[in-house]
Amino acid sequence: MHNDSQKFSDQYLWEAFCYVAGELSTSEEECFELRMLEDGMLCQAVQYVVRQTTTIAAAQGGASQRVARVSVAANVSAPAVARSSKVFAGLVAAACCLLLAVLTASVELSPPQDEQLAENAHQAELLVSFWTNESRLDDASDPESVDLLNQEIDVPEWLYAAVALPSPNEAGSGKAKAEHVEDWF
Amino acid sequence: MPQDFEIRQLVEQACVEFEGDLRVFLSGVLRDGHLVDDAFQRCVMRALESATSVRPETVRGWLFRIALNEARAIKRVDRRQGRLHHSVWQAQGATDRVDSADGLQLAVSAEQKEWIQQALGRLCENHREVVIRRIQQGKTFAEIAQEIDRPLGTVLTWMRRALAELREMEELRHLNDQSSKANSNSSIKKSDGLNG
Repeated sequence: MHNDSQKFSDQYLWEAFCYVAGELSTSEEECFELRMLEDGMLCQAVQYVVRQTTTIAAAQGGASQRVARVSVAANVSAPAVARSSKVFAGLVAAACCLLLAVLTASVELSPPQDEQLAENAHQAELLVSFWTNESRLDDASDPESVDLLNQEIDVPEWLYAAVALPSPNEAGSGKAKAEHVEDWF
Repeated sequence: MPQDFEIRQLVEQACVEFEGDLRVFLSGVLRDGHLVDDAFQRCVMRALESATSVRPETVRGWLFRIALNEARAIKRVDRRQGRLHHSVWQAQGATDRVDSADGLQLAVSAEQKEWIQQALGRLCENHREVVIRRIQQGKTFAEIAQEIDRPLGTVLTWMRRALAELREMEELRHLNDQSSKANSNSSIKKSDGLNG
C-alpha cells in the first residue's frame, strides 16, 4: 500500500487539518469541499490528517477520546474533581476554626482552676479580715473598707463549717451545732 | 451485458477495497461515526447505480467524489439541526474497539502509544505543547494562545510546523502503514466473503 502522506504539500496538509479540526467557517468548508470534488490529492490529505490526529488523540492515557470530548464540550470531570477537593479542604478548615473557637470560648468561660482557687483564697482573707478588724469598717474613708462593704463576698462552705464548730469551752452547745453541721453534709 | 457486469463487479470490489479509506475520509467530513455508516451505505448504493459511467482507471477518485457528495447532503441536514461536532476527534465516542464502524483505529496499542510519544518528544517544546493542547486536550487555538501567552498567529504557525514535522517522522509513517494494511486486510477478508 502506498504511503499517502508523501504525495501532498504542506499547504494541503494544513488546510486539511483546519477542515478536520473544525477551524473553518461554514462557507470556507463549502469551498474546501468543492475543491475536494475536483482534487483527489486534497481528499488524501484529509484522510491522512484524520488518521494522524485521531491516533494522537487516542494515545493520550487510556480514555483520550473522553478527555478530548469532555474538555471541548463541557469541562466536567477534571474541574469537578478539583471542586470536590476544594470543598473538602474548606470543610476541614471550617471544622478546625470551629474547634478552635470552641476551645477558646471554653477557656475564657472557665478560667483555670488555679485562678479560681486564688480567688477563693482572696475572698477568704477578706472575710477573715472583715471579722477581725471591725474598727476599720467604721472608717468610711478607707478605700479598702469601702470596697469591703460594697463587695459581695461569696462565703465558702468550709468557712461556715469552721465557724459552726464548737470551741473547747462550748462542748454542749457545740454538739448541737455539730449535729446541725452534719446535716449540711 | 457482460461489460456492464464486469464494470459492476469492478465497482463492488473497489467498494470493498477502499472501504477503510472511504470511512476514514467520511469521518473527516462528517465528524460523526453514526453518520459515516449512513454515508458509506449511500455511497455504495449510488456507485452501483451509476457503475456504467466509471472508467476502471479512475474508480478510486470517482468513489471518493460520490462519498463526498453523499456526506455533504447529510451535513446540510445535520447543520440545520445543529448536530455537527466541532472536530473529528471530539466526535469519537469512548470505545475499546480496535476498529470502529468508521474504520478509525480508536484504541491505540502500547507500541503505537510509544511511537506517538517518541514522535511528540522529538518536536520542540513549543510545537509539542500546541499539538497536545489542541488535539489531546481539545482546546481552541485562542485558548492556547492565551494560556501560553503567545499571539494567535504564532500558535497557528507552531501547529502548522508541528504537523509537517510529524509527517516526516518515521514513527508516524509506521502508524499510517499499519492503518493502511489493516484496512486493506479487512477489505480482502470482506472480498473473500463475497466471492466465497
